[in-house]
Amino acid sequence: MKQYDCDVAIIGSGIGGLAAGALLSNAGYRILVVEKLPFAGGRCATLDWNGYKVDTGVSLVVDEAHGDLCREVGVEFEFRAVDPLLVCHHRGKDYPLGSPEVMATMIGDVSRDEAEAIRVLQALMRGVTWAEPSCSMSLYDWLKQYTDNSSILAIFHSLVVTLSGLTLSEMPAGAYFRMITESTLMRTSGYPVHGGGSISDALVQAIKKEGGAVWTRCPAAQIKVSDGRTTGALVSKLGEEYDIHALAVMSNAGPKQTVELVGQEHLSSGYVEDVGRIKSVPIIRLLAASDRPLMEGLSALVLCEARRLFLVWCPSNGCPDVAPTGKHLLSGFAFPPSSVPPYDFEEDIKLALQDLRDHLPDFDKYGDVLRVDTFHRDWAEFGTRAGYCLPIKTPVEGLYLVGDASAPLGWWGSPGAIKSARLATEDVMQRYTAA
Amino acid sequence: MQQLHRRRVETKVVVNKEGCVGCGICLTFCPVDALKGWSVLEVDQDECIDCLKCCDVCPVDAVMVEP
Repeated sequence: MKQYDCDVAIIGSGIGGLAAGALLSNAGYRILVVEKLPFAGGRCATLDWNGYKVDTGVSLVVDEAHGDLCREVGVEFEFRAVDPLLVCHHRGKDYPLGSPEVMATMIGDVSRDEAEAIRVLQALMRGVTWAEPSCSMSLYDWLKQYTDNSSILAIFHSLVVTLSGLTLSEMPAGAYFRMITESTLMRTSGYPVHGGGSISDALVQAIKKEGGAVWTRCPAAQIKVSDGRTTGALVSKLGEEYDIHALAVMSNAGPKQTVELVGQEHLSSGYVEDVGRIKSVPIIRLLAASDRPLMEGLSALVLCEARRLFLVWCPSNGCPDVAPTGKHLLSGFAFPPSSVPPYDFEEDIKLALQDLRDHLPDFDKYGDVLRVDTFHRDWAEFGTRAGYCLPIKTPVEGLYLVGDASAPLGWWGSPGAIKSARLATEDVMQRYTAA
Repeated sequence: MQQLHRRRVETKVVVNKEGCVGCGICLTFCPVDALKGWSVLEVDQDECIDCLKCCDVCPVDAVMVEP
């Protein structure tokens, strides 16, 4: 068995793993990232397919999260800000999201009377500016205290499912309000012009320029534990076994896979139970091609009256190289009626296509569905449901969990994965000195 | 190509329906468009050339070679 020494070994090259690797490399730590797949990035990669650029997941980014990270570690990716990023489409009207005033207008437009609108808006403001509601109640139950107006509930459902993949009944009220308050720090959203993978490529470059390494086609077999602390990992690369010695290990392989790599015997039963309670969140992605743009503008539309297809945009409007010359790409995102399995994806896809045709009556004339992809279980939209997260530190000393499943309350998706990487790297820098 | 087809008599590439999540990464890499379907992929055995790229790239290890 070959030996390899590094300061921190990172298992999994999702955005959380690469962010941690880039931050630690930048701070002088010798980093090794191992990835079982032939490409780095996990759900933040971009693949070429028949002339189209297809993201494995991350398509929208935040300058204050992804941009700040890349600037900090001295690399770049091409970013196109979109303001407003989200536009709510309800009863034929478009509401550009981004200010409380627009939300007030939208709720005012669908309320039965002024008193109802004021009641809902005051409760919302109190939840943001005074005290957020409990996570022990759902957002649905919280809203029902103030209104049973199905249009208001539908607007909140479309916003919540678009942000989190959860229904109103599944979303803990406290988690929703924390997401709202945390997202005020993330003002500048938009597209990575060459796909989400351009961020992962930049972070790989950041790791390598400081002498670190990213090994693809390199599955981890075990996270080594001795006397309650980790000493590294066993991996295989090109048919050879490597014994990786490290001061600390970060797992970006997901909570369940991390437990498998460590072995339950090294973990407390409580931690294993907590990991067992982590449920991922599904999403359905529809890609369609056309000879002319099927929608105008750069913003993504939230379709408040949809059955399944709640979010749709044309990435080629702002990033022409995601489609072959002369072609345009439409991305639509649909969600099952519950984030909890079993799913009936066949029915969900049928309804999502109906939603698309309802919104774009000329779709069949100008558009072709290229493919429909589903993401769930261990390759899901989100690794955990909002409000259910694990700590970045595992019971094994020196072993950290990075990724969206260990993001603090109110953080989700790839910004959440970056946040968890930041918290984990700060802790590493306090405890371990680079060799 | 003839050699590849001869080898296919002995083995075939299949998608484990229980394990497949439908993410489509396999069809993205398939050089002959042999992966078909939405939400659960299937290998079109008439198209497949046994290059095994789909096995290589499946993030959930749902594509495998069967005798």
